Amino acid sequence: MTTETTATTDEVDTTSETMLRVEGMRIATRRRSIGPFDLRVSAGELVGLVGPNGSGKTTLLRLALGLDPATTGSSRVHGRPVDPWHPPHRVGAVFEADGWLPWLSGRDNLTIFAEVHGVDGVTVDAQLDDVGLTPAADQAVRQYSRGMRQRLAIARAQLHSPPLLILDEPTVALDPAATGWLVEVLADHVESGGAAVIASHDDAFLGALDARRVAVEHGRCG
Amino acid sequence: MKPRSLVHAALARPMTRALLLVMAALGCWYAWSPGTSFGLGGVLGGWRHASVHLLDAGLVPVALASALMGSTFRERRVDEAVRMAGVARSTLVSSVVTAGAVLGLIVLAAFGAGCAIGGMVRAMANGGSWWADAGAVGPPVRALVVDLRLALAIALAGGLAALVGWLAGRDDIAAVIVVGFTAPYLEQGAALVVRVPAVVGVLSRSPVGALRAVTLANGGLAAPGFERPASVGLSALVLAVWILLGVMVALPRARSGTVATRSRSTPRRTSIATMGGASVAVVSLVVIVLVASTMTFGALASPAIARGLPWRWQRSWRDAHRAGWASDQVVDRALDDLRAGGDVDAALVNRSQAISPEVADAVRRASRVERQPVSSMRAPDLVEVRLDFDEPITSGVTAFTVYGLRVALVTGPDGHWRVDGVEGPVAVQGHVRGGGS
Repeated sequence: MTTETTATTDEVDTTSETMLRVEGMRIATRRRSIGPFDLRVSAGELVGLVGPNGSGKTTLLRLALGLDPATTGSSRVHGRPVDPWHPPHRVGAVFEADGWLPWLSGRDNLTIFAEVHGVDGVTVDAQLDDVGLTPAADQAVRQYSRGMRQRLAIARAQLHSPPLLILDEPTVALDPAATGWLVEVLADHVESGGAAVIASHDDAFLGALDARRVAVEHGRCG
Repeated sequence: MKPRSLVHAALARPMTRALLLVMAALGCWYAWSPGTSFGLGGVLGGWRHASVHLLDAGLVPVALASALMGSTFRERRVDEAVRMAGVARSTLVSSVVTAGAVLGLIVLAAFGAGCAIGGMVRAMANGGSWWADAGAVGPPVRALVVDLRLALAIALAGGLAALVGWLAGRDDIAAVIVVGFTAPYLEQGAALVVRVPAVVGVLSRSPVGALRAVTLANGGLAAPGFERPASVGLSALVLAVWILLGVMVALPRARSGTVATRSRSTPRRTSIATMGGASVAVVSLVVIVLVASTMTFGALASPAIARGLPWRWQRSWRDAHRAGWASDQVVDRALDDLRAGGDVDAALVNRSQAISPEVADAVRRASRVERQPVSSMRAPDLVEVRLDFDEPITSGVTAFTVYGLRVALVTGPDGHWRVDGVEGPVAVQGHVRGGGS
């Protein structure tokens, strides 16, 4: 069932199953202010952030993961506070930005992150196989199409089997088959107790996931 | 994140490989240049002769390679991907700086390989000499101390450049910054900038100027007047301040308005806590060890170690210069005495016949007298002097306008240099009357 809901600040984080908790996060510059955002994501939940371009979806995700410093508010991932100095743990993320060294192969790029996570080469190969990039694993990433890079990013996000996935426009440049595969992956992920937050304009994709939708408009969840 | 991963990734980059090749070619070129003194088959001699250029021409590729490594991880947003993997920013910066230092040493190794090849080729071209020149190579331990000093300086330069690249956040900006910082320290660059006193003052206190000054124990610039031995204490302090500034900018304390400090549930943290104590401690330790080691070899070298250093770094030379009795200063005073029309002060000569009447006469008659700068002296015991004559001196059909003198000096038990003899005057430049030069 798909439902339109609004995250509120009144919810109390009493359960240990809360994977992401964003409270009153706001980023203010001289020109504009975005937020405050409030969001709670529990285990087994799929949350879809919807809203027009520039509404603040990506900003919310970046603040939640501590990639950007917030002016006010706080974020907790698995109950631990997160900010630019305290990165989140056990999170897999896909952002529109690249995050690859283009002269390295897909396998070598993933291997860098595998070392960070303490994951072996077998897992890297398995992830490459999962996203259908085994034939191109030794090609330089600069030769990848945008869709292939997106699949590689999904492989990176799943490398260490994190319970929480944060995906920003994950279906961009994916073909229908790959989008279908991603729906299956996310459904399995939730079934096994994980959670995911997905910012997307792809209504059909969110519908197929039966995600709880949170509207983000004018720089706030509402 | 392990520095090893960063170094491997950087070494796979075509730009880094190109810089390694450039560095090897530079080493080859300098070792192959005229005037090379050779050691074992030219290999060690080439390195001894050329290694000092690591701190002028060599600095550019070292800084570029390390800075591009630091900048590209932010430009490509790899740093964000790594942080989302749970790596703290302080840990990442620490890894980048360490990897920059290691990459600097790898670039140094490429330069060394080039020196070895160039020195070997020149030794063979000069008649297949395979001798061991003790004078050029020196005792192994002392030579190693010099190499260690250079390696520390290059590692420090690499680490600093990686930090600059990280702060720049873009390859193009990082490249412009590090080339802008290192190019004035090329011998050719220094010859230009030394004409602008205001720029010279800034350059000698810039990070690269301070690094050069600490390592070479001189004024920091590869220009006349700046290559004379100088105390390194102030430069070491300036360098340490630059390093601390870089670390502070790369790892700023959380602003008062950020999530961590404003959260009701999170107590206010001190700056060191927000930076991640262990990682900052490691970064600080590495920086302190690098600076302290360089300072130790530069400022506090024991006499035994000092004798193994190049002559311009040696304490005896610095002491003589401070006392006003270094060879260049003694030659200046002797020339002044002659130009004043009198005899040379007896205290300046080692023996009574050290300066012949012909030499004295030539010096007095010359329109201009120019002593070679210390930077171009190959050894402290030989100083060349150029005599310019506005009125050419004719010999047959040839008119000479420039003559040269070679002043040989020796040191006494008091460490003072004195003139022991003068070769010349030898005609250097002239022309056939009514014809070309």
